[in-house]
Amino acid sequence: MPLYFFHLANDYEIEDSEGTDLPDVQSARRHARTVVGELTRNSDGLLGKQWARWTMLVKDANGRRILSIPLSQDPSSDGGAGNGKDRSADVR
Amino acid sequence: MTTLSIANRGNNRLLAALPQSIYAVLQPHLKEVTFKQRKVLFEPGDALDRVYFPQSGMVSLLIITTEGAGIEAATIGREGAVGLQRGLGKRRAFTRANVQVGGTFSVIEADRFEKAVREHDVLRNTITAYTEVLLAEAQQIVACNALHTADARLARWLLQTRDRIESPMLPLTQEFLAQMLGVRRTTVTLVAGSLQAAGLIEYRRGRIEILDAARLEDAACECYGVMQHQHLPGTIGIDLHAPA
Repeated sequence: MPLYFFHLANDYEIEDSEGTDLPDVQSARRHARTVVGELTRNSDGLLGKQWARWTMLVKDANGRRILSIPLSQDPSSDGGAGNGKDRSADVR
Repeated sequence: MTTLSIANRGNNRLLAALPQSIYAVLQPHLKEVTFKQRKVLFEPGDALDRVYFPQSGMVSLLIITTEGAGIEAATIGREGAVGLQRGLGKRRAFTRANVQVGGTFSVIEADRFEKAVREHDVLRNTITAYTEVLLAEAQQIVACNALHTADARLARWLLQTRDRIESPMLPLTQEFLAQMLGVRRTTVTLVAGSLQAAGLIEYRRGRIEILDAARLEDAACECYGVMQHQHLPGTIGIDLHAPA
């Protein structure tokens, strides 16, 4: 299975050096949303705002950027394409 | 009769807190055993046949779901014991006990331990008091998992591990931490990365080093402070987390 890497970017990058085996881009997107959810869960109040300015960058094993998801987006609004709320950009 | 001074009792605090006469009853039956990281001491449903007193290692108890996923219910180091409830009668485990940090353990056969408990009320009281502490910690973990952020929980977990093994060098894998915290391994990598970027820890494969404990405490949730101050009420009255 291909390896996908899930980094966080703001003024600097927090790198996912390990990567995760996933069957396809759709699975990578779901995994990214899950991780974003786990990172931002219970993040309310002053301390929580730290993640809001970050973006998740998903790259494939060749270093190609596959997905970009701002963490300020509500990860539970998983409307996929076309619901207007989905601000994650598929970068090809 | 040989006098066994407290200094000879090793590092386990529960054993060290026992009255001399009680410790003398257990001591001939305690064996020193070394277990490596990842060793499974028991699975849910197993009959508990031994009681383990950590001297230098650390054990996590995990609830295992039917899909095989696990999440931490409790973690026990030299401040406690695993399988202590076996002293109250034949019991089956409802968690999996995983050695998280390898080390030495004082181990006693459950039947021997149960016999000693039957004959000595002090031992029964110790088990009851310790079980209350463990329950309070487990309840705190429930609240923590529900209410606190992944980074605050990871910081707490790292500090508790340091307290249990008494070293800032934590031989923990991210897979283990993911299981403890009930999150994806990716999430652990990213949270650990942010703690590292802030200069609080340094992590490599299989190892995390605490660089700035004071700031890591600031980053941890309040549960760390609460759980640090648990101590045995009543008869025994020892602070399980006090520095030696």
